[in-house]
Amino acid sequence: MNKPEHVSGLNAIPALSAQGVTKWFGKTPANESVSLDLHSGRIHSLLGENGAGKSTLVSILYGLYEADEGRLFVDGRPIQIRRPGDALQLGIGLAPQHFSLIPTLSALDNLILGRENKNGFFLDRRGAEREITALLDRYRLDIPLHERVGNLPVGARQRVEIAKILYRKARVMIFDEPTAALVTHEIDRFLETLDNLRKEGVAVLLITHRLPEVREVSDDITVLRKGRVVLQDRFKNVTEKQIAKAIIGEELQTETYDLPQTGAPFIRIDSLSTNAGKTKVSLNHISLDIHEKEILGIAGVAGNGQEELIGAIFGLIPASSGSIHMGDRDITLLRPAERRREGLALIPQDRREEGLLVSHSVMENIMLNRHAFKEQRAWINKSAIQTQTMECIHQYQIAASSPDQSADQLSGGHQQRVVIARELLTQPQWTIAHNPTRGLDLRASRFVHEKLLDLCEGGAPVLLFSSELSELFVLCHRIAVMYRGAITAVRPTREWTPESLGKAMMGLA
Amino acid sequence: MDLYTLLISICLHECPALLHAGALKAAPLLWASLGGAYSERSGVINIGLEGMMLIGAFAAVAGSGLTGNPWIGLFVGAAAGGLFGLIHALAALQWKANQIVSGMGINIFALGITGFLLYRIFEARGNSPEVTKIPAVHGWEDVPFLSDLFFPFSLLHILLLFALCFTIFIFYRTAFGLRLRACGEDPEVVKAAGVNVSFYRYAAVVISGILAGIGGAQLSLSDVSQFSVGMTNGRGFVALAALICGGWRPGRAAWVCLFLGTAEALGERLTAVFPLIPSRACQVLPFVFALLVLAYKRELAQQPRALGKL
Amino acid sequence: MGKRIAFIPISLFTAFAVTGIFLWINGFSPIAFIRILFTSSWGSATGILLVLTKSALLILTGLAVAIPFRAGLFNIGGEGQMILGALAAALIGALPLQCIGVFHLLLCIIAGILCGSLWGALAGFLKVQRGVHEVIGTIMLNFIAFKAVNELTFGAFSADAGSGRTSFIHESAYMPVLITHGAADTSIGVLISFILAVGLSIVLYRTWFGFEIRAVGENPTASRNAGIAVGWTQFWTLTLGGACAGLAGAIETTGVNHTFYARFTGGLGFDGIAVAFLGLCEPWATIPAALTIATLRASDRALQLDLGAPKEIVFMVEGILIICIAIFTRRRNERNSE
Repeated sequence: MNKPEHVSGLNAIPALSAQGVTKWFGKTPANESVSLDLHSGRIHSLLGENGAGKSTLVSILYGLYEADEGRLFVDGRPIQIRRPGDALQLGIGLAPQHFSLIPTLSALDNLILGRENKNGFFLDRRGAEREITALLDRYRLDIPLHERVGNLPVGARQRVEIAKILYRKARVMIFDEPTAALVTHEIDRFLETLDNLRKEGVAVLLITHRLPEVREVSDDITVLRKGRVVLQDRFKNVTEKQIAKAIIGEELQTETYDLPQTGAPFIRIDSLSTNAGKTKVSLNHISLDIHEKEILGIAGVAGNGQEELIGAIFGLIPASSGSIHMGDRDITLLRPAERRREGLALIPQDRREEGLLVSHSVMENIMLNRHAFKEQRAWINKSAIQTQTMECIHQYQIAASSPDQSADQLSGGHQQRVVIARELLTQPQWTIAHNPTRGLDLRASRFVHEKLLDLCEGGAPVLLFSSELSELFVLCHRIAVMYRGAITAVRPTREWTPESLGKAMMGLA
Repeated sequence: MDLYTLLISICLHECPALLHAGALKAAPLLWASLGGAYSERSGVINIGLEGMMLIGAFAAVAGSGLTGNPWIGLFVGAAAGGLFGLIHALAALQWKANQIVSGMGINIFALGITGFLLYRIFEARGNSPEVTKIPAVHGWEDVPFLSDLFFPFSLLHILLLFALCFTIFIFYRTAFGLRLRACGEDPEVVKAAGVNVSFYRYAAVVISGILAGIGGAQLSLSDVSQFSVGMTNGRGFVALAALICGGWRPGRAAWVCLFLGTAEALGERLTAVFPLIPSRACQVLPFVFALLVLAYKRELAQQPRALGKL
Repeated sequence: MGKRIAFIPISLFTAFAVTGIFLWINGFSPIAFIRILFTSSWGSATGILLVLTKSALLILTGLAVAIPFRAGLFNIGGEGQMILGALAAALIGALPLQCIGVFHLLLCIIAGILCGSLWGALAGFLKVQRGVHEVIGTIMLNFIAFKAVNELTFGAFSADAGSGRTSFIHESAYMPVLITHGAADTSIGVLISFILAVGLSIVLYRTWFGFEIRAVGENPTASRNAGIAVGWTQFWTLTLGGACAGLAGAIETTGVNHTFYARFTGGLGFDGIAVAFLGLCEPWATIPAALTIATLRASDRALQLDLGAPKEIVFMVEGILIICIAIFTRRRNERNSE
């Protein structure tokens, strides 16, 4: 492991330094003796796959978790960070992935919250505004201070977030996936801002999984894998190939699957549009044909209309125009329950919030698929359902000792199995899966993938919304890109490269 | 008397008198509404306003009756309301109770303890003896138009106007208010900004109780001069409804309270003038109206996002 | 289950302990308080009958809270729904329909149920279609019911001018008496409420409608994704809750008062909240819960006479009990508040 050597002109003592940080979650280490130095005026990138331990490390640096082992230093002094408040006082600020702003308050009020200037009893907004304007000028941040944050575009909200940290006199700034929700020109602008921060002597920790950004701004780089540092160096000393290899690791040969031949077109979404409420995206003339035995992937940065498209397909959001056909059946105007009866199934992205009755039994979660027990009228035939549930437990190898076991007691992977077992109980004609492997380990993901493949081999198409590009590449016949409520491109998977797909997702297609 | 003179007499006499009567009826509501605003804007549902008013009404009478000084009574009433606020805050914040259930518990508990103490202190059931009330303001009696509009009123009404302005000022012009409102929108953000959310919520709920307590005192020690069991008669709920109709803003809630009070007064006066109009039926109308407003003006009811969540 | 119900004795103990200490400070004997509480209720046949009569209402108003709560809604409107049910029953009961015999009673009860459920349905409609929070909607509807009924009993439906009550109902509309003992009796309303409580438990756990209610209460998003019409399910639970409260009113009118006056409830509608939560919002468990609260309510007069403490003391016990329950049941409907 090479630590960045002292560079003349830079402070040799790191602004923030972590030494040998270890954090256990149960028996698995989320971080294992991780060491990291952040220097003033330098941008340090932290890379790694989902679950590599980036978030844990950040949480420790910011005081959300306490490390089990290891020590932290600020300017060479050993320190303890127990609460976010401690971190702030030491000059460490975190721009979280989900903005920590209050949408109903003005940008100015958000900035001063918790650090208000007072003029006797009054809130000295004018004084604060002067101070903040000077700050914004210095870092060349452009924010309409009197606008409500809820009305600002995402990029501006992020600048508010940054300004908020700077206003708290942070000398170390941690960015957690800052560009995940940004569109291209906003990203460029953000990188400019980072550069300005660097020039002003701020130490920056940038967490991301986008190499191009890293390339553009990084001075130092650290790659985590399974909680350990696998690469740490000056950025100019490493090649992108080395980085990519470090991130993915040796053992993970991407699995390949044999995809079945696709058949005739089966689903036709024709110019589907919705009117959105204030905060949601509206769908804009979405047209898609999905074939029998096809897995069609939908790529896109989260928040570009995926939730809305799923809602429209399931009848939860009314279509303002356009139509959806399954076979020769027009389902555009059907109620959600009727659509399910036609053979729609959904594997939602957040199983606990959107898929399961967590404090109910496995059996009752299976029962949520009413359609599977449609021969039962008013009364529940418990024994029939019990038998059915036992079958599911068997077939999907759900680690439940009995149908009456609470879903809460299952691990994430097995909870997902319950959802899948329930949704596939009725041999769906069309399955929609939204990030079906989110938060699952390799084995569990593989299980989900195989189930999806089984489904489509049986003839029913699958619409797979995923933010894991690797998943899309191995599973899908074709990949479509969603951007700002519209489908901007649909191509067979082999015609996509990760770069071209990434670009398309950013709206550069 | 021709129609013309009738109209003039209505404009010159009836309208001011009506507004005045309405304002008097609105005053206790507004106290409680303001109290509700603190609690709910900080994110704590306060359905216990009713009970806090009731204990305030009783404690004020008790304080005044025992010391002979209505101002001490007022202070005791406010303190008792604040104490009940503290109970609600402890239940809701410390022990994470269901805030609606806890509030209903406060209401029933207040009904019980006031009845009990009424007997213990005054040896009375149902109604307390008359005590010294908060003095009315004098000196306006002879001014023709204004006396109708503004007279009589007690010093507590002046205090109420002050409390209203003060609340608006606190909410939008002080750090305390900014933080308090932020707590009601997203406590996580406030916590992340290094602010002690619990402190602001405790403070808000206790202030809420104090103001509701003063509202009770307004009823028992200013409008009349005795306490009777259950005398708040649902005013705490009406105050909460007014607050919500006013979109959780103290200024707008004040207008809603005034509207509800005036409508009630109108009902009474109409019967006095035209005995055929059923006055109690008129009392239904403001509630129907408020419900319709809520149903058709959804954006009015933008509730604090973290209301009821911890 | 063990952990879940452990809070009930703790809450009861706390409520009695706090009240006991309070009584002791004020010079009353807590022991005598407990003794009178039980002897006046469960100590005599008359007392037991009184408890049973009161528990019939409490079970029903408890169900009016418990059923909607299982779908994630808070029905505070039990009082208003009950008043309207009672008034409707009183009006039908006063019609000269003696000729139709027992159908007269049935008509009264149906009218009560209809009026109660209508009031519940209105709150449900406002919630589901117009986004009016059910707590505020039911509070408003309570007031509208109070004020309207107040007007009607003094005005249009008044038995004689200014009496504040409606005409007495005909004997054909009397609820049959279940047990009599001396001057005291209790009607079959108790039986009806017991059966309904158990029946609704069966509905909740043995029918698909009941399953949907529980699913919606547990996780509305997952339920919506599964094709359940969340809004309508919630609407129906409020309607059902209103029907229970309306039935309570009809039973009180036909079985106890035989007339209607606006203040007959004495807050029993609000006690439904205590009953429901003491029974963990399980329908069948409203029976023991209602018996508990009814014990308090039935002994209030005896407490006043024998102990010399004002009868409001029982509200103290009840209030503390509810606050304790609020603390122990925590936040079961957290998810639904979005």
